Amino acid sequence: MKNTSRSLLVYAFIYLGFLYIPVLFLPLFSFNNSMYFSFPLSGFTFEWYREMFRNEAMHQSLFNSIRVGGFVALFSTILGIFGAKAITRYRMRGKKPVLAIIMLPLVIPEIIVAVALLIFILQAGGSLSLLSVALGHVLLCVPFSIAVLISRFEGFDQSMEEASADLGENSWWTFWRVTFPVVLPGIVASLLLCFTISFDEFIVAYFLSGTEPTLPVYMWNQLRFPKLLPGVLALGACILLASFIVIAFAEWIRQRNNNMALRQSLASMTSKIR
Amino acid sequence: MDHIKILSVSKCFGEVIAVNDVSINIKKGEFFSLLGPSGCGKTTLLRLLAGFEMPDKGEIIIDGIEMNGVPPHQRPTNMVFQSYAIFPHLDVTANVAYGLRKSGLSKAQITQRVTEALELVKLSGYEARKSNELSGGQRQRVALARALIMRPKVLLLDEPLGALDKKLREEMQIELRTLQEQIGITFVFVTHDQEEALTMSDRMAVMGDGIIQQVGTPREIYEQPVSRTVATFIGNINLLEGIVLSRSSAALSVELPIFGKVEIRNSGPGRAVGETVSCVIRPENLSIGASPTDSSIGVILQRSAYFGKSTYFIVRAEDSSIEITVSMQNSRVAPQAGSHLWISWDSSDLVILDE
Ligand SMILES: Nc1ncnc2c1ncn2[C@@H]1O[C@H](COP(=O)(O)OP(=O)(O)OP(=O)(O)O)[C@@H](O)[C@H]1O
Ligand SMILES: [Mg+2]
Repeated sequence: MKNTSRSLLVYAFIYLGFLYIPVLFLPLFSFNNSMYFSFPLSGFTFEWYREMFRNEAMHQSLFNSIRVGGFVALFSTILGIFGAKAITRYRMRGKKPVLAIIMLPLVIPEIIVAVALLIFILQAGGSLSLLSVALGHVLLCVPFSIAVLISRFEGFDQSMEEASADLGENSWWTFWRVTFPVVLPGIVASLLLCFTISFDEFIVAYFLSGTEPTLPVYMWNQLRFPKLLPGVLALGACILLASFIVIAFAEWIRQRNNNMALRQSLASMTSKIR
Repeated sequence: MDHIKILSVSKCFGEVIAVNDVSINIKKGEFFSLLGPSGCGKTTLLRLLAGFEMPDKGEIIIDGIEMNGVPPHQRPTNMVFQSYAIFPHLDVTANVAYGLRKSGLSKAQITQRVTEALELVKLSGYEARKSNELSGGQRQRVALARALIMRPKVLLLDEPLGALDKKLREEMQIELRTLQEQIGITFVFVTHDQEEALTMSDRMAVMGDGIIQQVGTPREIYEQPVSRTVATFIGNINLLEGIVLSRSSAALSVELPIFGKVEIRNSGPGRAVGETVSCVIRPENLSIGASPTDSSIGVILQRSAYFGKSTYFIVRAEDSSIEITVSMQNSRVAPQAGSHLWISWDSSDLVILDE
């Protein structure tokens, strides 16, 4: 018994190391005062961070990615809400095939989607821009958004919406006063998920971004110029830190809510005993 | 005056006919129960009244207004859901006040109304609780207060006591009935528990397979069931097939197994001599003894079942394999299976079914 748990522990450490040690090279080399990634480290420097703050093009691409990610998160989640609500709430013909078509981008290789979109946009006389990237990303993100939201919609008692209607609210107010607050955690999850997917998506962005690169596309371009690469590393390290802070914060909020619920139920229990 | 009129209403879900040509009139201020086995269409009928479903055929008139096409939020009805449907993101006060957004009342007036409603359902002091901090009975009261605060003309209740344990349930039955008498509005109450329907209702309807089997007071339903479905669904009953020997305007003379030739009051449709009829008698209307009386019949005890306040004896006649059940309260005898006993009855307790 003890042996299995120890070997499991070892396994877990190896697993985590395998996952995260490569990632940790990023901040490590971002403080190394050499352009080349090799051991031994040659010395400590903030140069690359200074470089990062000076690099206008990089700022622009970061800003592009954030804009695209924000748009994609919002738009995909709104579509996801409509889709998930329709799928879970209405009886309709051909629901299964429609759902299958919506979910299709999950299984089609991205490169195919990217090429298809490129051909389509050029044929249709459109031009490549951040908007085309964003629309491509929406296509990729809607299935994820719907999947996250369906479970949330399915998990709540439909008679709550009926109760709201029964108490005099039309469907619009019922949505705002009952459905929305109840599915809110799912909406937040969908926003975060879609933003993340869009933020680090490369293939579609590479094909559709035209002259305005998103951050992954910009980084990829920099790989050709070793001189610029450490600046990218510094930015990567910053993004890593930012994601870490966001996740820690989200977890802290979740814990706090749990604790609050726990404390309240304890309070109600003790008041009952008294 | 009829407060609710249900006129030949039908509702299908694909192949399933959930409600089949139902007509019921419910009076103002009445406690009316819909009773029937699971899946017989009770909830569907209630949802038709609330407006969550629209009838395929027929019409519903509530308080003199034709309801076809009127959505739930514009009907003078409120509903207490089987699952209670308490809003989980709101506390008790916000749940109860939910329907008052458009009422035009001031904050103070709303607080006042909430306080009154919570007092009515005996839930004062729970204003700030969230729904996950309430017990089943408390949630049920919140659902009730939330509906009552709207001052509906009709309150619809879908098995509101179904999720409660027996003791709490019996308490709530009394409270609910008292509450209804206190506020005087029409209650339409769905249940599949026959005892609940019998003890609480002014009148009730027994449903089976989407069809109304019988409408009447609990006493009528219990003592004068018209069909086999009603007779067997409500309580324990003995069902016997007999042949009509002769008839007069007031009574039928019927030959029954075990009982022999009996005179039964003739209330239903005309019966021909020689026709087979179904007769029923309640176990508690039969009495059992260890020695014969002038009108008793000898039987053999098959087995008995003890239920605390009463004991059921299952007996058969010596020359027949048909079993009948007799119940006795406070029986002091504990006869062995196989012993000879004597049963007697009053023929006015025998009822001929219409079908
Ligand atoms: N939305 C629906 N879609 C399809 N069939 C339905 C729907 N609602 C009800 N039914 C069917 O209609 C019939 C009556 O259902 P209903 O819910 O009215 O029964 P009930 O008497 O309330 O039963 P219970 O006591 O189990 O609640 C059932 O056969 C049920 O399967
Ligand atoms: Mg039901």
